[in-house]
Amino acid sequence: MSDFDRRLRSRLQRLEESVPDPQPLALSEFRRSGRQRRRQAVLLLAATIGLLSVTSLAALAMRPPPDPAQEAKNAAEEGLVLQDLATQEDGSCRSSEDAVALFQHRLNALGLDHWSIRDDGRTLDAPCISGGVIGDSQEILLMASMGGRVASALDELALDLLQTCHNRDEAMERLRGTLVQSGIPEPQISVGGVRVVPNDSAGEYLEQLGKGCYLYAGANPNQTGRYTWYVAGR
Amino acid sequence: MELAGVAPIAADLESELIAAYPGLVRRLALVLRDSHEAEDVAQAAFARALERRRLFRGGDARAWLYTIGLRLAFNELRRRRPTVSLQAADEPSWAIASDPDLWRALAELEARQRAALLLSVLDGYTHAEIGRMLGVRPGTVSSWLSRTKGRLRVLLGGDD
Repeated sequence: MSDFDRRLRSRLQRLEESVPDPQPLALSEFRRSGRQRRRQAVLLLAATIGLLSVTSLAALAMRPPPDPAQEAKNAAEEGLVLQDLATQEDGSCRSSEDAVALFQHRLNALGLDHWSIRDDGRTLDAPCISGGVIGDSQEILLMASMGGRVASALDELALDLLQTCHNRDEAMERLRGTLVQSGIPEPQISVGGVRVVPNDSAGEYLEQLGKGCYLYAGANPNQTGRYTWYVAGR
Repeated sequence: MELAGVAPIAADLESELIAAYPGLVRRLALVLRDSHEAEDVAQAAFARALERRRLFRGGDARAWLYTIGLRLAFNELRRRRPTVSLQAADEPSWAIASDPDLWRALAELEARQRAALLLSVLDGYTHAEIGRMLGVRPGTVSSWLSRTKGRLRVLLGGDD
């Protein structure tokens, strides 16, 4: 190792150590909602993720050890499917049958006969069905979705709650009203605590929470696809 | 069937992932050049690793987590819209307080090359190991490292 390498290593170490300490991991949240986080990672229909879109990432189903050539092929196909299906997104709420038909039709059109559509049974009570595109396993996984129109309405609500301070009851009522008007007749709502902080408005979000305001904090489907919507506040 | 062994192994892996998590955040902060985004991606990587723990075949759990995290980071970078050059005011205070010249020099490198450099210089991974982690050939890693060190030598004035 040259002097330059030694100095570079020392400087890189110092720089890396200067990165602020991350927030502690909320393990119970990870253990409970691993599936939802995967949903964030592979969600196809972006409109359904609302505030959680800060962590939207393409599917990358890791299967160690990876074969670079196969992985590149999978990634290319994954991108192709994502791009194709994105053009099909119109905000509609699809049933399982409709979603499977659409996905199969698009896979056929793309000539991806070796891809499959998988239903792992966790969408039984889902209001709508979406799909996660997973290149490494060459499949589209059926996933619970609240539907694009509901998500759009929630985007507007989230912005409104961020800009105007509402107390707990007001925020909960606003959320309930938005969901009912969007076609969710008996929404399950949970209030309290802070679950996620959106990256694109973190400062504003935390400032509002600090004032005692209550904010929209996303939603999670349970093991059967039934959603709980959250209001955050302290 | 070794059912008795399943839970302890899973718990051990989780412990290793937890231990590796803060380091991953710091590493991704240098790769993504944003500590907040790094934390977000690291959390996604941690969740991904927990979901796929059954696929883990043993060995270096930290490298496994880093592989997932780095690939998610590269995906994220690909999705970023082109942005204008960062102004000085956009540079994080922690980086400027620590080593502004190095921080700015690292910005000259492509993200995957930056990651390869860190994996090599800080962690001592071999070119083959880095290649597996980043999904490129070992020769590509060698080429990257040679080029990036040469570039940094110029930018940082490191002739010896």
